[in-house]
Amino acid sequence: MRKLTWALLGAAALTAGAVALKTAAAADKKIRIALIVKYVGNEYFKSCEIGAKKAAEELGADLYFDGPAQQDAAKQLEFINACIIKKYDAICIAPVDPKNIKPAVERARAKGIKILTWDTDAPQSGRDLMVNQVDGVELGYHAMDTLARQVGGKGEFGIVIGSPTAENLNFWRKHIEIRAKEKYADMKHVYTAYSDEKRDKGIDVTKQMIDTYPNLVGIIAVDSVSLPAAAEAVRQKGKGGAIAVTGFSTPNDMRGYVKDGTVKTVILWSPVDLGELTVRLAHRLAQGGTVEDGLELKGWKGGKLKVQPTRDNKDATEVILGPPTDFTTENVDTYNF
Amino acid sequence: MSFYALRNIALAVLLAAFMATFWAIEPEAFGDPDNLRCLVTQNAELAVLAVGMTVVMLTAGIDLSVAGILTLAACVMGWAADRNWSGAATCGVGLAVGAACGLFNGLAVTLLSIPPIIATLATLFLFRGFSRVLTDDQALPVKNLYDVVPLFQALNRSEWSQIAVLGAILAAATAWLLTATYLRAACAVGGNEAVARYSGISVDRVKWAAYTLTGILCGAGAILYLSRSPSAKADVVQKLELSAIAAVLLGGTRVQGGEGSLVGTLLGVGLIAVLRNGLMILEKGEFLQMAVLGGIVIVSAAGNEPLMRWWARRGLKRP
Repeated sequence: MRKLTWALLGAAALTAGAVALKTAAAADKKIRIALIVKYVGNEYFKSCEIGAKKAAEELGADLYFDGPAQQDAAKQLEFINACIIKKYDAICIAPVDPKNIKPAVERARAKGIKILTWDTDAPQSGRDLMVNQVDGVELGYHAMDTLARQVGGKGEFGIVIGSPTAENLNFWRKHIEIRAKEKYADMKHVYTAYSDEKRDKGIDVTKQMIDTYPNLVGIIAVDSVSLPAAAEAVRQKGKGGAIAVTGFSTPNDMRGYVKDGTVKTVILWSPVDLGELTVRLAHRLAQGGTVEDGLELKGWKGGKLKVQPTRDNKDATEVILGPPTDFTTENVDTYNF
Repeated sequence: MSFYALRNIALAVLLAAFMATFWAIEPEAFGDPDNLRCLVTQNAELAVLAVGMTVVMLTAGIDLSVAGILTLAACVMGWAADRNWSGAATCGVGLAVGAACGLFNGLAVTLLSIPPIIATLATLFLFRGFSRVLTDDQALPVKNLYDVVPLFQALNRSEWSQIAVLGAILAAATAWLLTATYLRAACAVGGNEAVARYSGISVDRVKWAAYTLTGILCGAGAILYLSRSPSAKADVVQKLELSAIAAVLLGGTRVQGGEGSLVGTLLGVGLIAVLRNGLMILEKGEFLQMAVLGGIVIVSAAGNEPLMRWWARRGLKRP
């Protein structure tokens, strides 16, 4: 009986303390925006956060930037559900698995919450807008063209990719393969390896691929963790120069490999700008504004926005940040992301 | 009043206290019935796995492979869905895979006499390895599960249906455990194996049944998992076995076996669910959730034995 009394007293004390905490916090009517990433602890997303925070500060909005500890679709859904329950004005998601967010999107829209996707899309989910860093077709073609140029348009090549479900990575991969078939008849795509966006696994599967295909001349790595991992594998195998490596990653992650020649060209865009544009567009939608082609956003230095229907769903819209940027030994030092 | 009855009441009070605290900090979010529904559905697999784990731990065993069994079952179900199997057939194959894995664990522990911690650690890697080979690193099904299998589409759209399925699984498991007077035999085996054997209990059969039941429950867990997430990969539900063990320990079941409480386990699951949900709503991030979970398990495990001794002494003092 005494134990019970102590337990009840403890509960009462906890509750009193909590009420005190809550009343201390002031209540104001700022726009609240949540950005949920695929997983945290990733350099690319950390760079996105920098841009996102800057935009939120300038707009006077509250920003919540978080995601699961690992690339886990079910765990990411928990974050999204929590944001819906907390009635954020806009939730911007980079979905791990585009197929599982549809019920959440519907629930959010029923509550008047704006749902955006960014970095990677879920075109069939009914989201309000996608903030796309590049035109996916253009990016896939550009990656294949870059590799083909480096190997003289001939030979076997492999692809290293971070996830079988991520819509953006697989969309780019598909168009790399399409470009190879249409334009480079002498180049053969022999294998796709999955890194799960984990460096160690990326290095292992790339090494296995190099061992299995001794005639490999090139590797395209489709995400910011797979490219440094593939480059590391090539370097460790002593194949730098013999196997051309290119793909999408950040200058900071790739600087060492670009400088020692393992990787001649790294392709990307500015994740800082992507984070900033996402927050700005979320803010506009949350205030009831619309986004149409040619829109000039106040405070956005990127000029008129290009808005178009998505390739996989004509009823869904996406905004394009801009064309991809190439990083080589000439300019890799001028960027810090 | 028995020790476990009082312990469960204390757990329930603690659970209510945490819920009240979180509600006081953010009444709008925690008062939203949607949140409570989410809380239950997001921890459905944990509940089901923890029930199996309780039974195994009562026999003084442990099953580290539960997350691996769930993964393999879910991957096989995905494989089946890609080949347009019906909802019933897909669920059936998931349960069958779970049962087969559980049987394998049981045989390893009884026939081959491998200590449970070693056997199930090995099978954890074995089952995840099979998943990787089966899926070829893809997420199965490749097609959209919610488009291809109407049963899962219905489950995904309605959280109430997921809760109903969870309730049905728990009810079925509890019914079997109680009517088969299995629990008493399991406690006997865990308490003192030699004495149990001499009193005529088939120790091997009891243990084998514990692991097989757990395997079936993992298959059921896979069904619940696929209701929320439309595909499975070889690396899903990482470390779920640790949360299941944590829930069982919070519920008061002793690691050495012999004594425990199913109600306690479910309260333990509730506590973990509420804490994780609370920290999530308060935006404290996943790492703090893990740290807090680890902390309360240590406190609970450390306090359990002294508490039991104190309770026993108290009983002896009465005239």
